[in-house]
Amino acid sequence: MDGYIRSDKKLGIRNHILIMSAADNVNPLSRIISKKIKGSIFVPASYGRGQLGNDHKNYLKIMSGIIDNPNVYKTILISMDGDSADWIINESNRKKDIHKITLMDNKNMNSCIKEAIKIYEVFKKNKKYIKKKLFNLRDLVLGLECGGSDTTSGLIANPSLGFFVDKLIINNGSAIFSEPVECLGGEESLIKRCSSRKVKQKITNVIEKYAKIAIKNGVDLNGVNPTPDNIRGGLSTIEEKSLGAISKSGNSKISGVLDFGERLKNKGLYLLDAPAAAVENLTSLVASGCHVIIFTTGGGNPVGNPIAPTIKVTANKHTFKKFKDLIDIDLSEILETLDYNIGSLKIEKEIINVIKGKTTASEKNNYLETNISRFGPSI
Amino acid sequence: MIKAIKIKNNDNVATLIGNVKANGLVNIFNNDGSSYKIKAKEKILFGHKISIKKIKANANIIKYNSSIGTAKKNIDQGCHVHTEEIRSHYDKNNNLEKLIKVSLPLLKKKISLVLNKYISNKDIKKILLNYFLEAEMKGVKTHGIRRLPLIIDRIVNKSINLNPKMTYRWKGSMLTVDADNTFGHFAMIKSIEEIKKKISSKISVTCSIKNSTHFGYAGYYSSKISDLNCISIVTSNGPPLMSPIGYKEPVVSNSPLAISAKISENKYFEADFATSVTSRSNILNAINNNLLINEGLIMNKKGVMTTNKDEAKNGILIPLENFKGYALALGLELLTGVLAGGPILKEIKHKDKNSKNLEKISHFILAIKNNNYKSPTKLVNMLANSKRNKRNQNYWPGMRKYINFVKSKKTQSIHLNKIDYTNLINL
Repeated sequence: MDGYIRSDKKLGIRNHILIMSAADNVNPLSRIISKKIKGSIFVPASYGRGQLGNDHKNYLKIMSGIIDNPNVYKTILISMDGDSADWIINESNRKKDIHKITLMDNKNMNSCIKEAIKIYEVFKKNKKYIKKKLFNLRDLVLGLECGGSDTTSGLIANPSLGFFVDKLIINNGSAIFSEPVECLGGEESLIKRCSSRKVKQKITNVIEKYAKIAIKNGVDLNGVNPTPDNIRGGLSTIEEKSLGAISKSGNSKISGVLDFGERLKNKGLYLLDAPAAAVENLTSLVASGCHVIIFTTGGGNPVGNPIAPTIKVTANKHTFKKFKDLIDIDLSEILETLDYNIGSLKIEKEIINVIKGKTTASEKNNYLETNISRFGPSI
Repeated sequence: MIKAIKIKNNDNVATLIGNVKANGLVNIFNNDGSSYKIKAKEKILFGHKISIKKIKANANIIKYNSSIGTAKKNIDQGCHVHTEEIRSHYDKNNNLEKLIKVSLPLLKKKISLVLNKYISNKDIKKILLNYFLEAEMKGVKTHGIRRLPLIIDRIVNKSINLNPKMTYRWKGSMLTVDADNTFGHFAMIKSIEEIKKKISSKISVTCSIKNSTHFGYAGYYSSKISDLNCISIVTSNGPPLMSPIGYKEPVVSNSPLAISAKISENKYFEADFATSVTSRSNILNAINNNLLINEGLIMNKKGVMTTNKDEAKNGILIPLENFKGYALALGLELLTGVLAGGPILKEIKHKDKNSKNLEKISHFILAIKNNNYKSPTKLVNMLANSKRNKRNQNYWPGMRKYINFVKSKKTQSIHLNKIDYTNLINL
């Protein structure tokens, strides 16, 4: 397996060249450019203008985090003005991998497009000079996500993934799971696995934070979870539902909690503080540095991320049939054998194939999206 | 045959992957692939749970090796276990901001466990235990067990003396104490014991304590002194945290002031407040819980009021009514640091998490006996008759603490902030 060495010495498994908007007012321009350049990856901006305080900081952290993701080779950053782009560049650890194009400093829109195409061709030519190194499992940062969960998620798909995560962590690899709001009721099982008192406290605080946001907005999390659907499917309490979601992180020690937009610096298993909605969550996992994301689903969720190949896993055969072109792994046979190890080996095999270059279902069908969470108003 | 998965070894329920009829056999699979058979007592559907052991009422229902709730009733082996049988731990408590109920003996045990782990001096342990229990019983959350992690950090950093040699010097009715850098709680209680020895022969006593550390909430001590048939005043200084608007650095501590008198058994008039608009602990609590910080509570390092969390983290507290609270705090600095001859203002170092600095703060006690003085009963009775709307049911200072105290004593239980309690257990 080849890994590509980046300017910050990290190893990537893809050589993406991004066409990124610095703010939403240039999304149309970046979209035109990316359509003209086959193989480029379009990263639109979500807002980016008029955001305040922490909300704006979070936005910059995520945008620069995407640029710094090891799967990204170069970024062409499109901006209306110099400032919007510079704010993002300043947050990046790989400033020299960014080429900035601003509408203000160009003659017109067409000259921007021409410049972007010219730069892209240069980047593309230089791809052959990228140094390579053997990519081992210990180099992997795996993102863990689940969505559209049903009975099979907590029973088969998530525990099988957890089985693989344990193996990954033992082999000195890294994994990031997220969605603290879906840990509500499962805190105790997480706390037992923490490496220190500080991590315990941070986990408790971060889970409570989401509970409080929900309560503040009039949502009674314990009243809506499990949903009537969940109850019909056999889930009895919010604890049971959360533990099913948490089981995707295995039994390994939790080394720490990452703030929203924070990059992974050390190895181990981490909980990332980010909202649960799939597109936002995948984006924040990528900004924290994930190479590959395993996305388990029960009833089905179609979306993948353009930067980190997203491997979709289900143990529900009806879902697999229905979403065949969007799901990569069918684990429904584990319902017969009841052996999580088989499930985990299937996941491992697919991860290795994807690292070697296999395109995932969502990549093949270009069902890819990014979006950045926001927590405050615009003015 | 219908199969069911037992996910972890300790689980007492398994999940069915197929529909089973009453009296049908179910093959229970362990996570290592081994299996055994049990009989289903009733019809159970795909995805639902079957009990694989007898489960007593109120016992935990275990799946994923964790409790997913407790049994509402006795459950036999082979039964359907679902919403009718399981009570979620969140059931009654559907608002997480609500507090969790902990019995007094349990809380006492948990605090003792923590203290035993870090402190060997029995005298200190006893005084700290009494303090924290009473603070929680009276509902003083900002200065209760929430502060224990900070104290433990200081013990670990060795910035607190666990085996102090305190010295007491009397001159007329003035007592001077050197606390030898021990716990403020211990220094205060020991000084009060010393005052108790001599107060019968005096009209009033002042006490200056230096080389001490944070003592919790001042009202605790002023009320203890009023047990000696006195009106009492207690105050303290601390590291600088507060300045009037426009100042670019904190100048003075938001020193507390407590004035107490005993009304009857366990019932105290207790005027107790700090000199800032809000406490630093409230600001940090808001930051940690992602709550909004209101305008007018804290300034940034440019001397401008802020609501930004990053600025607020190391911000400067704003005094009560700006210059009035500032003046009051400086007046209290006269009574504490200046009178005791200890460090004042900036000379007092901050007690950051990793700091090995000794705190060296000063406290001041004034206890006044007067033959004409009986008790503040008349004052309190007059307050009872004041016209007020329904929300203002606590009509004398200290009444809220008193009501909390009586309630927790009667029920032998306390409602604790969930995070505080979890942090205590994790210490």
